[in-house]
Amino acid sequence: MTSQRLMYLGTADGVLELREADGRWEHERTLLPGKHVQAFVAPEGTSLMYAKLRDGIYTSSDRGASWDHAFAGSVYYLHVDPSNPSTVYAGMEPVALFRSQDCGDSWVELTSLRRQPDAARDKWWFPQYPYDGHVKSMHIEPHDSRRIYVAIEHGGFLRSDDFGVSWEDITDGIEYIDCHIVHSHPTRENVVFGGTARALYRSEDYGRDWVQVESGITRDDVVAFAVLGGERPALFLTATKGSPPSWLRPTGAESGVFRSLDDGVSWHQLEGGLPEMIVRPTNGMCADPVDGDRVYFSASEFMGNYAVAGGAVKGGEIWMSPDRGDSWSCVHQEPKPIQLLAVTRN
Amino acid sequence: MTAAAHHARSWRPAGDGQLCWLRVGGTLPTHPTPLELTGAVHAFTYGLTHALESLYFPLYEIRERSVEGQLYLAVVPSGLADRDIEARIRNVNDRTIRFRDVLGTWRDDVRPQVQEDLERMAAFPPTGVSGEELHEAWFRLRRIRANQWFAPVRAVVCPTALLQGGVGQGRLDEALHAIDEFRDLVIRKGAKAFDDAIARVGQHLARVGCIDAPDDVRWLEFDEVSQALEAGGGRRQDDVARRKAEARSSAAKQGPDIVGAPLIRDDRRLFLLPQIFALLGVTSPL
Repeated sequence: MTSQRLMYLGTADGVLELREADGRWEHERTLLPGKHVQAFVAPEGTSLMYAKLRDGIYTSSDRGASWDHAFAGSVYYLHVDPSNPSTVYAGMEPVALFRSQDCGDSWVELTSLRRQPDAARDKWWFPQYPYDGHVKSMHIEPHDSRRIYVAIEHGGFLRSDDFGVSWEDITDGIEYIDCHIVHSHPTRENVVFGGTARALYRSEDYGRDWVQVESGITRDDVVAFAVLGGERPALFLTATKGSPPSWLRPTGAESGVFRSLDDGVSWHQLEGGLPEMIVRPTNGMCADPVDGDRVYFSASEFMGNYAVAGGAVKGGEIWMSPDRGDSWSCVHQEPKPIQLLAVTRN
Repeated sequence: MTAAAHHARSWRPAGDGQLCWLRVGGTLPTHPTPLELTGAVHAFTYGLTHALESLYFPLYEIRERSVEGQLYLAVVPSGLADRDIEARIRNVNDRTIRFRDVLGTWRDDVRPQVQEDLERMAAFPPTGVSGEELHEAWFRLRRIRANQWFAPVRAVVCPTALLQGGVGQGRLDEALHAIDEFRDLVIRKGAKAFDDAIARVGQHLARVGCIDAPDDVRWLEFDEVSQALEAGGGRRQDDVARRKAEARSSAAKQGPDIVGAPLIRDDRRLFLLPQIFALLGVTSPL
């Protein structure tokens, strides 16, 4: 039977493309071998691929057979508009945002993001030399590309309602502004979630005001977020206990996976085959593009400065739930550390 | 949970009127000029706050304020930490595991950064650049000074305070040696480099007629200097004269040690702060 989906795992030695066959994920090919790929997007229904390497963004229009160095610079984050695969964003360190609307051929800076008032920019900072904040992640409203959210690590959240022409700092109510992820509810656009290194926050007014989610999340460092739609949306997040230096402890990152079935008001740690504490830090999560009940997450040896559990764990693993988080199994183990996870329709 | 219940828990930092303000001195100026308060002192609290929060110390920030011309600092409570302050303090230990070799970390990682930052300050202001670029360079100058505090406070000062408190297996004698070098490089040479850069800005603003004399720059606030640099001038001497007069009238005053809420000496939010202030050479009622 022809596989319906492909999985992509970013590593320090290219992107591994895996094909599902009889419940197993088999290595199909390696894209950009030898390259440390930190972000990767393969928009559905196209031959396009985007990858972020250390020296910028690379694009392919032939499903990875050939690549162009489309954007050079200190890119920290890559994002593709979910409703327009030819529109791609490059989030920078120091904080800046560029956009291409022609698959990476030409780029324009959205200057008003960088030109926030000094009082807002004074919050942009990062605790590693040279201490410049960066665009950690983005979220574009799937049904309205004009509404864009940006998470700045450290520095807060910003929102644009006009396709990036103007930006509003929406950090009020967030205490520790080491902002990691921002994501809207799948059916209630006004409900937005902000994940930081210390807590998950929820807003009911597009991020103008945030309230910390106190119910059920027993970890502090929110790492990844995913949603499954349907009549009763399921929201998922992964979180670790503390951020990287703390993972040196013998118990590692103590990662957990959490689910909310009430629009993100309360959360419950998932078991169903998962360890209570996952030693490796989780670092990616995504919904399946074919089956509306499937969700995946990755956990991996950390590729930064700090060995997890003093170096006791190596490589990465992919976990999958076929039933909206009720049960889980490890579907792939990878000897190489994994930096990113994506699953696309074949 | 109702929407109303949600809004009830939206967090905001405490206002100045709710805090216990401590009169400070030593490394910090007791009677700061407006530029000292918004420049050097702000850089100090910025770097100190980020170092402490990075290590999970149970506070939101260290905030600065001038009360009748005298410098006060306050510890602003953290909503996150206050939920379980002892758990937060236990996390400090996890966060400092990597800094147990205090002298090695200082000499191999932090000291080169601090020295590089001294060179950056010495190169300020850039010449032949636009007003907007001058504005940006001025913004960066204070950040450089803040980072000079951040990195060694996180990697040297706090771990040394922990060792003094019996936490960790590092060598205290080596840590104190690193503290001596930190004091020379960050407190003494860093302050001079930052002050020299401000003096050069004063010369620039006096040349363009913003102020009468270079030293008058010290009576402007950081953001006012920023605006003057970007605009290429703008007369500010009236502000300078008024503030000098205000400072003269408060110069002889000795304010109370504590302003505002009473000091609770066993408040766990003050975890290790007396030792950290002492290592930084900051005098306070703690």
